Amino acid sequence: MSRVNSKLKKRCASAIAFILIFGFGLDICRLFYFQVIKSEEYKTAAEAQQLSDTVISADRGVIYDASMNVLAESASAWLVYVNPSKIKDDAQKNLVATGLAKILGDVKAETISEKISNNKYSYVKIKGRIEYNEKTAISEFVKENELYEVIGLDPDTKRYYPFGNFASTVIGMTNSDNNGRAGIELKYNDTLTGVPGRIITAKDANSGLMSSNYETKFDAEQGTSLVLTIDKTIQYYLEKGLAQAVTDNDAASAYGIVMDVDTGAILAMATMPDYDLNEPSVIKDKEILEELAKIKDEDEYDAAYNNAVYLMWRNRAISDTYEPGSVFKIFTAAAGLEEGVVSSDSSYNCTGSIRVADNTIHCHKHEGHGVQSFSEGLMNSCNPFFITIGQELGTERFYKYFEAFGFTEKAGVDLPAEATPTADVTYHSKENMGIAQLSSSAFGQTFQVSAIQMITAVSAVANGGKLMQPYVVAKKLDQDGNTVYETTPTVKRQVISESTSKTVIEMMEKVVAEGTGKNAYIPGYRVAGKTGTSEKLTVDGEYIASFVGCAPADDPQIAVLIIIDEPQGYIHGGGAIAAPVAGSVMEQTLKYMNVEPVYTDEELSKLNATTPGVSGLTVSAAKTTLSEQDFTARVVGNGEKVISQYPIKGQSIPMGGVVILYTETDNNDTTSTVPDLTGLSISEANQRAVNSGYNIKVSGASLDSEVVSYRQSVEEGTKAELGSTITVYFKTTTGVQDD
Amino acid sequence: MVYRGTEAYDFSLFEPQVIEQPKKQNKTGANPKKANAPVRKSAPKKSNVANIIDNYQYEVERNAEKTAIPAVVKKVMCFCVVCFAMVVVLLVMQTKCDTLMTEIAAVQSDIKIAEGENVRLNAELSTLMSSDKIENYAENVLGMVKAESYQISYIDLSEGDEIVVSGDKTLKDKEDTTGKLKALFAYIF
Repeated sequence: MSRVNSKLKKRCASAIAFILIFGFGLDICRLFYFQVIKSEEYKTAAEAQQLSDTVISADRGVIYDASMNVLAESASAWLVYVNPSKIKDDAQKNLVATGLAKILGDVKAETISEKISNNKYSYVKIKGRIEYNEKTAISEFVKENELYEVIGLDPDTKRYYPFGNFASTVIGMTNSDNNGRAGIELKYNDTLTGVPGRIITAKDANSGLMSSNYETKFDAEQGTSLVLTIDKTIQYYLEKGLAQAVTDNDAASAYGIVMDVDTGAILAMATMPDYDLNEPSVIKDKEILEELAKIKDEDEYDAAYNNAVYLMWRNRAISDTYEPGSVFKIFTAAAGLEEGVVSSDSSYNCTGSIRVADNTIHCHKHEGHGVQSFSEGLMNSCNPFFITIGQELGTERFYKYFEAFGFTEKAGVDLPAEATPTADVTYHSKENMGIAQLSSSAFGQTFQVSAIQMITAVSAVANGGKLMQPYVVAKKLDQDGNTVYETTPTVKRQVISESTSKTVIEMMEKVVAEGTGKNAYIPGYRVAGKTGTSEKLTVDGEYIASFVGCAPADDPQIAVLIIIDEPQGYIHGGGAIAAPVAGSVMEQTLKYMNVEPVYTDEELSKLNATTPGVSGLTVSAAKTTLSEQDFTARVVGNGEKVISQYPIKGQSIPMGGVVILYTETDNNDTTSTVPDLTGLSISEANQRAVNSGYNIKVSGASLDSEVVSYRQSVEEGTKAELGSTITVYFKTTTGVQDD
Repeated sequence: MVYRGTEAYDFSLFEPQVIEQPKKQNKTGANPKKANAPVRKSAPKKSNVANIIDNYQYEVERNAEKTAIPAVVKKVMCFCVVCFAMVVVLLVMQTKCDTLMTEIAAVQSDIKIAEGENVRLNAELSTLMSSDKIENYAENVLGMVKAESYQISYIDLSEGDEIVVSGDKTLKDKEDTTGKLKALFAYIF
């Protein structure tokens, strides 16, 4: 009996042991499976179940100009979304669509309705980057209509560009994901983008968030800020000049660059027409809109609209190439001087044409310039002279300088989409440069360069021969404003000697003083420059007019390049239409940079005079005082004494200007109609203005006696205060033709 | 029959009693309670009234001993009270902490909104203060004219500023001090 019991006990024990071992073994196997083989998967699942992970978006870095004016800055905004799966019926759907459309303004109710029509989705973004006022209105709307589960707001960021169109093609903009899309925003996207933060919070059994004790927060780090070399004031001068050039010449576009010749820093860069950075996809150009309106097909319209937008965003100063025309003669001259092919004493007899291979190339002056010195050759922009210099240099040496001045490589500016020079496409390779190609290249035809390449090369001529690397970003700042990086000017190579540089600049100065660049002349400043006009290879009968200059010629500080694309009208030469713009930009910039003007005696004789004070004097005494100082008096009223005068004492008006003398206190009508002051010489314009009771301020005048007024600051026919000053712009059309 | 409800009616207290001598205390002190108990000393003969008073006091002490809470219990109770207080304080602090954290989060959110509004308003202000708007207003509304280059006087500061202070006492004092020190050293050595 006891033996049976013992056996039974053993079996039972064995069975229990087996069950236990099997059970535990199975558990251990399962544990091994979960903990080792599937550990990552379940770890992730557990974390997702137990933890809530919220991303805190980082603010993008700020973009400043050289004077620390904010050009682009990010701020908190919101994103509104709809959960269609929670919409009860059509009535509620309509309520949501109309309500949101009313608040958001620029989103149509139909669009919202269409977006939220599919109730399978739980998150449909309606609009991002909405501001506080809109956000508050949406919250109120949600509260009023109890749409808590239907409409939601998520954090978002919005990029603000305080000056709208200002430097738009340089700054660029961001897309809806807050990533750079063009310009600096694109080029420095990684730098500007901050590091997003995270809030990790434990969740309870109901998936609700637990208290802050179970929360770990990683703060977002703001992106690095950038300080540009762009100066707000110089940029304004350039943009204003280019916009005026587009209007005056009915041009397709105009673009330009202002560069610090010693460092390669870009002080201003603009393309006109530009666009508003706060509304980058909105086309405001009426002509473009009219063209688009003609397209009836919807798809075709969308494609055309997108093309127009991309064209509007294009920074032509770096992305477009153009035939430089006569401007390139600067480099042929520099190469010739450096290689000893020509000297300041060289001369050439221009007969109006030159035979190259089996072709005849004409000078723009068909009758020929006659015998001229090297300096006069540049001044007259004589084609046969420079073809001869090119031929004497030969392909080897010509190409050496072509390459050294950087025309076969990218300038390397820190902006996106710089045009890539391609051998035998944009320029002639050394291997394929025959006599015809060499000859045409020597005076700037049959090849293309970008504006940034051109101004960098001109800066090399101006700064003593050093080819600099152009740059736009001067500094990088951390979120506390500390400098973490500063750009050091980079000299790529020495292209020409200092003496050659000095000689070429002196020759260029004569181009402005006496040659085709007369319209860039600035009284008191020594300006060196060169004009250029070339026919577009892609469009028949269209031209590109350009002017490049640097100032002061004795110690160049800035270089300015102005390019006007497809100017309309008979006058389309760089000397006639681009030089005045460059002159105006340089004058304002030099004054802004506190470069002191030094006037010649001739210039001083043409300067304005200061009005004397004649109030209180009798009319006859006042007239005598004014006439003694070569002013003209115009009396308003019948009184005997001068009660007041305009311009008042101490104001600056041109020599021989008019001073209005008021003799009665109750003069109601002290205004008159502004006359047409265009198409006149300086003296004629002054006389006409004085006869009408106005003074003029002469702008853009050269010492040339053949200048003609082409624009006035107050339009003809408008009413203006008697004695007020009207700025009249002069330029010459004689001796500035260079194509 | 002795009524023992209260000592005020305990007439047995007034009866003559034989007071037993307490046993000699065990040297080992096995019973600490007894050892600690008040020992009735053999007193000189006293009057009945005095005995009554003594007995009364004795009984009072005995009753007090019976009703007294043991020290361990007191300690445990104290500990519990302290623990409870701490828990209460912790809970209050936790609640307070949560409230403050919520307030901080709300304030931080408000700051973020205010910062955003600040940026937006500054952008609006900058738009109004753009160079072209200022120039247009100055020229067309205020009738201002830009200064010509020749109307500006330029001052050359390339060599830096130099300040000359007449009668600089600092230098004189230094010279005087040096002279006096020299004289002192000369006198000593």
